[in-house]
Amino acid sequence: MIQTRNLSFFYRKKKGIHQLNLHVPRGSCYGLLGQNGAGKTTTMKLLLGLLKADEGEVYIADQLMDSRQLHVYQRLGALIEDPPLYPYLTAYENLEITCTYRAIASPRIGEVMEMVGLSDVAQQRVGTFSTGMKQRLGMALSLLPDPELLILDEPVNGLDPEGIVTVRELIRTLHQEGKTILLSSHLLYEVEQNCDHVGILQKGRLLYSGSMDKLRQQQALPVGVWISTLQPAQARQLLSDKGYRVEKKENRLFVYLEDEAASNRVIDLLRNADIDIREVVRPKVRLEDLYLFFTQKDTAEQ
Amino acid sequence: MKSFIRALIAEYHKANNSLAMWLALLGTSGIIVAFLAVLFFGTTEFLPQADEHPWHNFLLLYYEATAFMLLPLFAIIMAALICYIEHRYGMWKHLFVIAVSRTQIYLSKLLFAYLFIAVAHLFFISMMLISAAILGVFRPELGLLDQEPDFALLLKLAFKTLLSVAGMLALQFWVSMRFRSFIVALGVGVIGFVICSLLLEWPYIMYIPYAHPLLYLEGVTNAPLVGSLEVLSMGYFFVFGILGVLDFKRLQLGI
Repeated sequence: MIQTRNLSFFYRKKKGIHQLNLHVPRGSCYGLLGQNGAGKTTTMKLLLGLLKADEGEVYIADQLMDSRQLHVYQRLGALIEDPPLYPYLTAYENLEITCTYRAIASPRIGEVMEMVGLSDVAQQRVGTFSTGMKQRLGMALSLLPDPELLILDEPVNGLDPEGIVTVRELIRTLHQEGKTILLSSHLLYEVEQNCDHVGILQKGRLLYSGSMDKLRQQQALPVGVWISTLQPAQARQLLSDKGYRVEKKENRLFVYLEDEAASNRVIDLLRNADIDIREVVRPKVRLEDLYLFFTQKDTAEQ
Repeated sequence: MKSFIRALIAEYHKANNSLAMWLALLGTSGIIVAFLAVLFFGTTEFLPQADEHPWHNFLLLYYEATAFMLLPLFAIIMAALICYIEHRYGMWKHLFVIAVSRTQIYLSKLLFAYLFIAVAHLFFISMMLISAAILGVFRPELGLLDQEPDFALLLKLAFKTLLSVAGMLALQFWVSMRFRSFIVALGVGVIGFVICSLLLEWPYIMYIPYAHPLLYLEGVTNAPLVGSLEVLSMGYFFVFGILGVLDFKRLQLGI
């Protein structure tokens, strides 16, 4: 759905974005991860034609993105930085303005208000809204044209826990409906919860771009299991005597295995020795670890 | 064309309840009330001469008093406010991705600013006529109820007012669009207007758009409906309108 080729942007004579080759597959939910100042918003502005790239191209739905190609904008909705709202108007009136510009029938206003959970405050002035309500109304604005592609910059920024859950569920629903979503965030958890694809951006360079599964596979973790027990010393001794390599970390034992099926043999061994097992957990690759792996590796290489 | 009309209607929605709307309503009403008070308590200085149409004095008094300072200032503030709401609330990043061309966005806003001033002027005329009726009752010696209003002169004044402000408005609108700061936009306009009011005797003053509202009332009763000043003002309107569009199309949003 989105493809960039060697996209570069200079900021005050310095390269702000370095030869970005981003690929957001159609129907995916793509999370652009990066610290504050990594270039996420600049990248999104470049994709939308709000900034002119110094080098490279952007393609949206196989069409070269250019601010003159207005029909491309008909297929997308975007929310960049703070939600664009007129505080002296009501929520309904704010949406009505965009409907007028985009020739959208007014019943759509009620639908998007419902989607973001703001139906009850449609006639309330936006100036009285909390940050979270404004953010949700901003999302409603981007949803008005029922877009194929949604570009959301830090969609849960400034939201209270309830708002975060609403927006997260909304993103999930939209993704399930087949929409392509590109969202940026510095919150690893949000990306992990919502996205099936991820891009890791640091200092304007894309360190990784691809599916979450592929990312996890790339980072091969040792095969083994975490075991929690009330008798860790006994368990460790027993397993070591049987030839297993065991490490103790934070009151838990990590038992290295030849293959995943071997975990049953380990459990049987411990049970037969009357060792009380509290928990057995297979290691899971966390996005946080992967993010740190890529960013720290990049820092070390520079 | 349809999307241009839609953009114009969207501007109308934005103006509802905005500071620009309240300023136009309250400012115009305030000026009329102030004039009414002056004329109400004034002595014989406003009495028409024996051979004079009673409305001439009245209309010219209102127009001369407003054209010299209030009209240019009003146009400067309106242009600045109409652009400022977009700067202030970060609307450009939204407006640039809603499938409406930048040319249409710019021109619809400029045209709306002009129409807004025209409607505010109509409101000014209505209020002026109401105040004339009130004065006619309480100060019959002014003769305002003795004869019908001089609508020919009124229309001429209104028409020339709107034409004379056009060039300045387009220039001021461009400045307001270019600079995010309301103070900068306002400052440029006020400086332009003050310089012109100091240079009124300069032979080429007519070529400065900020001077047009200061000059158009000279000999207005005998002047043609559309004189060289009005033509020049409209010329500036188109030139600055086009330059503004070209500049607006190049605009990049801050990082």
